[in-house]
Order: sequence, then C-alpha cells, then structure tokens
Amino acid sequence: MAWDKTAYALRTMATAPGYLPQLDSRKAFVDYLEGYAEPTVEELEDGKLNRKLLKTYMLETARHESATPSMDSLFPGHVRLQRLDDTLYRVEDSEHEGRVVGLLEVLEERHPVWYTTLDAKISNKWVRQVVDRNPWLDRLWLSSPILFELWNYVKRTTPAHRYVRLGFEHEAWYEATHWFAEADEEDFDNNEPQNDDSVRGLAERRRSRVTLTEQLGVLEEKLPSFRSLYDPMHSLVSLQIPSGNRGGHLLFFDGHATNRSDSFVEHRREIAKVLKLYRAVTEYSEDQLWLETTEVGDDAFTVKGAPVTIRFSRPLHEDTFARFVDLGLKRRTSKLRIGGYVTRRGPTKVHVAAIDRHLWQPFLLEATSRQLTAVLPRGTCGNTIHRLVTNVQRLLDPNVEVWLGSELYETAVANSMQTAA
Amino acid sequence: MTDESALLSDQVFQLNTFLWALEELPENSDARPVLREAGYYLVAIERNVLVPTDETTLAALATLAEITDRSPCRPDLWLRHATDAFEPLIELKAHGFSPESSNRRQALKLIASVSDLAPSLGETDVRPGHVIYATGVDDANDMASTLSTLAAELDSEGVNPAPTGAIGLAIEDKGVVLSSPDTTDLPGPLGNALANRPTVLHRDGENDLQPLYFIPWIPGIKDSQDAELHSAGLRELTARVLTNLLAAVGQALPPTTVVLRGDTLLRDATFGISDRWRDKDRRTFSDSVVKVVERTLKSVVDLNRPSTDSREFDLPDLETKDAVIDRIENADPADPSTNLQAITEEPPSLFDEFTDGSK
Repeated sequence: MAWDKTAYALRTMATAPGYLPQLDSRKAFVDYLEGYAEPTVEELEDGKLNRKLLKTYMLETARHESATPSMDSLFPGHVRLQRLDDTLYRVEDSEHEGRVVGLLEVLEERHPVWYTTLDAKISNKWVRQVVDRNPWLDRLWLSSPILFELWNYVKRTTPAHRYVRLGFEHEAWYEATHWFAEADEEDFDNNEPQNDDSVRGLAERRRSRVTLTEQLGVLEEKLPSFRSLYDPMHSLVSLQIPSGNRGGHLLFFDGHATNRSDSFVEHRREIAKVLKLYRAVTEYSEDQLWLETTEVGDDAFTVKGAPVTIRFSRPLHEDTFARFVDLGLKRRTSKLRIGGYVTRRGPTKVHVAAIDRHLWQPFLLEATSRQLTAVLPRGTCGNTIHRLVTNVQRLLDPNVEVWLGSELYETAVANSMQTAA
Repeated sequence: MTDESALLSDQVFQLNTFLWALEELPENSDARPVLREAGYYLVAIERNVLVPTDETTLAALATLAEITDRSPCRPDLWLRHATDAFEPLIELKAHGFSPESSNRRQALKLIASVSDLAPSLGETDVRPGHVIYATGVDDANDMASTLSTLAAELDSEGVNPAPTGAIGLAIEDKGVVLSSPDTTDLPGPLGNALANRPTVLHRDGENDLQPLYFIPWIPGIKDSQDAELHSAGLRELTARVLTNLLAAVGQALPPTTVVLRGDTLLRDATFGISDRWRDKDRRTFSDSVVKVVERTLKSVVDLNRPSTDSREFDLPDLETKDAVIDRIENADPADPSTNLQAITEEPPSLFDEFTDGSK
C-alpha cells in the first residue's frame, strides 16, 4: 500500500510554538511523546534541542457541596476537550486557532493533569487563565513537607552518584520595610509567584533563591547542616527526581513539572506517584481537620474536627504582623488568596471569618504573631491547607511547624507516603 | 480591649473555652487542651438527660421545689473519660447562685437525674454521672456549697443524688485558668487535672484573651449576656453568613442563576448548629439572613423571591459575578442597617411576610 509520508509528516509535525499533532488515540500520542524528546539529526548537528520540553500541570478538582461539573464544563468556552478514552482528552483551543494545546489525563480521581509542549510562557498563561479564576479547579500545591518527603523517597531509591536538583526559595514579603512602593506592591500581589522577578521596587528585604545540583550522596550528607545554618533552606520549592536513564522530572511547588528525562511514560509514572501521595495526604488531612457538628440524641450535638496550626519559628515583629494582616488577609490581591472579615483582637491578634478566594470555601482563621490557627468546615478542600503552608513558607517564615490537630504535618505526609507506596 | 470581667461571665466565652480545653492541639499551643490531656472528650452539647420517674424522686422534687415537670434536663456539656466511669455533665453559669435561687429547680432536677445515666443512653448497665457547675472563680466556692446543699436535701428525701462539684474560671496574668474550690469534689482525673490550676488560654501581650469561637452566638441568653458581647457575637455570625454568601456566589459558574436560602446560609454559618435551635429562633434568624442577602445585594442585582425564605438572581457573566463579589466583600458586619442584630431586633413591617406566605 502506498503511504503518503509527506502528508503524515505534516499531520504529525510539532509546530513551532509547541502545539501537539491532531492524533486520535492514546497510543498515537504516547508514541509521539515518547519520541518527542529524542533529538533529530538536524538538532544533533546544531548541537542544541530546538523543541520545547514537555510540561505537566497537576490540577485538582475542588470539592464543593454540589456535584462537580463534568470535566469539559470545567473549562472556559474556548477550550474544547476531545475524549480519546475514559481518562484522556485532547485539548483544543479556539484562541489558538483550534490547535492542540495539550492533553488532559485524569491520572487520579480529583486530579487531572495537563501535558503540553507549548512554550512555558504560553503554557503558564494558559493555566492562569483556565485555573486561577475557576472555583472548581486548583493547582496542586506541593508544600515543602511534601517535597521533602519526595526527596526522602529519592534518597531511598536512587544511587548516590546520581545528580539531584533541589531549589529553595524564601522572600520575607511581609517583612515591614520603609522602602517599598505602593504601586509595586499591587503589581506584586497580582503576579503569579513564579513571575515575582518581573517587578522590583525599592524594597529591601530578605530574599533567597538557592538551587543545588549535586550528587545525591553529597546532598544527603550536607543538606541537614545547610538547613540548620540558613533557614530559607527549609522552604523547598523544587525537586528534580532523577530518571532511570538520564535527566529527571523537575517538580515545582505550584504543581507544575518539567520532563527533563528522555521518556514520557516514565515521566507520567512519576507524576502518578506524586499524585498518589498528594491525594493520600490531602484526604487524610481532610479527615482529621474537618469541623462538623453531628447529631447526638434528640436535638443535641457534638463537635468534631481539629484545627490546623502553623507555628512561626520566632514571633513576627509587630510591624510585620500588621503588614501581613493588611496585605495577606485584607487585600483582594492577597498572595495567600485569603479574604473575609477581619476582627482585631489586639496589636498582634486577629480573627477572620475567612474565605479561600480561589475555591471560595469559607473557614475560620486566627492569626497572631506566634501562629496561625485555621478551622475548616466539613467539605473544605485540603488544598487550601497545602497552599497556605506553601505560601507561608515562601513569604512569611520558611521554618514553620505545621500541625494537623496534635500531629505534625510532616508525620502525616510521611505516613501518607507509606500508604501511597 | 474586651472587658475581662464581662468576658469571664459570658456563657459563649465559657463554652468556647471548654471546647478549646477539649480540642486536639499541638504541644505548647496558645490554647492548652487540659481536659483532653486528662483523658476527657466531648460526648454532646445539650443532650437530654431523663428525669427519673420513680415515686421517691418525683415526690422529692415536688417537695423540695414544687417540680412536677418531667421534661429532660439539657446540660451544656456532656463529657466522657477514656477510663474513668464517671461522666461529667457541665452546666455553664454567668454567676453562682444560692440554694434558694430560681436556679434551684434546674439544679435539683439535674442532681436527681445524673446518678445513673444509663436510662438516658438507652443502656442497661449503670453509667454514673457527675454534676459540675462552671462559673467565675469568685463564685465557685459558693457554687460548690450550693450544689452540696441541694444534694443533701435530695438525700434527706431518700433520693440518691449524683456527686457534685464546681469549676471556677479565672482571668489571671498568665491567661484563663481553670480551678476548683475542692478538687476532691470532682471525678478523679478531672480533679487531678485542675489541681495545679492549669491555664487553658495563654495571655499573649496586649491581645484579647478571646479564642477563635467555634460557636459565636447562643440563642436565648441575651438577658444574661453583656450587651457588647451579645452584639459582638451577632457581628461575628453576620460575618460568617457573609462568607457563606461569598462562597455561594464565588463557586457559581456564569451564566447561571444563584439561589440562596436563608436556612442553608445559616446552617453553613453555624457548622449546622442552627438545625438544633428552637424552631422560633431558627425561623427568625433564617428570615433575617434572607434580609441580609437582600440588603447587601439589591444595589447590584435584581433579586427574585421564589419563596419567603429564599432569593435568587442571575449571573449572566463574569463581570456581574465580580460586581456581586465586590459588593459582598465591601459589606460591613457591623453595619447597623444590614447586620443580624439590627434585623432580628426590627419590629415586623407591613411588607414582612409570615412564614405561611400571608402578609
């Protein structure tokens, strides 16, 4: 049978901005993506890889009282999901001339992931547009304790000579300073955390970004000392899990990942592992924390559920606390995405009838200069807690202790890892 | 700063202090769960305790306080211990009272009913209870004496009274302290826990001592509550209603119609506790929540009234949704024209509908 190689090549060609070809099955896409990272002869001759890396954005469908809308109705009108099988969709976007901007796979219940080969600037923007104003979708928030647990998993399963990459980040964003400009502040809060670099005012405050790429054995030996010497190194924001062959899978705190290995299927397997851990710790947290009243006998009730406590490593300065309340809890542009009604209880204490301004789920919050205490009504997404912990470590205090009731969050994450393993 | 003496006698503060003392919390927390650490946990709030119907008890109650009413007692808190058999039933009081006080009837009924809780639990084996009244520490000694006197009166009439004791709440330099005038009057583990006068809520500089309230407002206690604390409770409840209103709008995906029911918003704002309020209180507040919704939103959307206790409006697009959210976020729970205190205390107007739909 004659085979039109040119037509096939055109149909399957990855175009410059990184659109995927319009293939019709899981197998075809897996085959395509599996070979995607392999350099062409031309690229080898040029000495560089022109194609974009595959990015994965791990998402969560929120729990609300009413039933979750169907997958395709979760996305704005310009996004069209073409079902390829029970859990895989081809994602087309009319704002991209109907081209294939990626694949959506429901790898775990509650957790769709979007694979894309678009340029990072384009894919980040796409996710912002689709997720950040959608009360039914959130990113995964890989808090430091979750990333550290994955680091423990890497240590247990990877030879000591392999190279691992760890990224740490902390900016004392709420630290009071006389140098910041109001306009910068607004812009800053409106930006995505990973775009913080785009605005720099005159602010003078502590800001640390440390990336370590080192052999696992060396890191394993040195990291505890680094962490005890310099507290921003408690705020782990990225981790590259080494692949079986070369490269690895780079995970970021906001749930996106880059495939820097030579295998899509291996990347997918690692993502599935992360999701399994995340789901286990989220559901465990929800079981521990949800506050509810249940009927006991005739018209009596009892109260169940424990608060989450985030204890600062040292009390916040009064000015820092004031700035945290003003920018973090009162402003609509809060990086923490918390809103609500604040009642002052003293110079360093407030109570907030709070709401998660992304998922629009209410909760109660007490903030003092020593700790945050949150009470979550039944039904609140555990994601709210992971996001809060992540952002508090990045922006307020990198070395917080987090407790789910009387259990350390780190312990809960470690136990969840065992469950998920 | 809140008046601490008023706070101490406030039943909402007392209730929430006990709930924090029973919570699951980390070590060295601002609140210390002294009762949980002693092995206690909450069974119920306001659970019925049956009044015994044996002739001796009924005759004693009639003789001592002319009590012929056999309706169950409803102590504020019912606790249980991991190993100790005695189950403390705690009644919260703004102030102590004498054996001749009008509270005598309630206390006598409770002391006569609690010596065996098995009938109230539908069980057969004896479940001994222990009656405890909690009040300000200055009144705790007299309170213990009153309970002891009332128990002796029952005993003299041939009734087996439940053991009694008192807990005093105090605000000291270090914070809110629990103690007892005589810890041997309390069940063993509870007496041991309070022997060293533990601090439940630690003072933090100049900050108020009020913890985050699980229950910010209790119906029916207005007459015994400080006016400012009563208003503060209703402001907090209004704030929680408004956050649930925000949730309903925020979770909507335009184009859609948002339907808001007063009883649902109230239930969500009270963690479901409003379902256990008296019908009259629940109805009054559900209706008031609808008015909060109406007064908050009428300037930004056209509200329909599908029923007396609900309102609905269209959200055709994201811009309208943003405008509605903006309006709710700008609402002030302290605003006397829109908050629950003002609305629940308004006299009915000509335009108010009764719950049967008539005017």
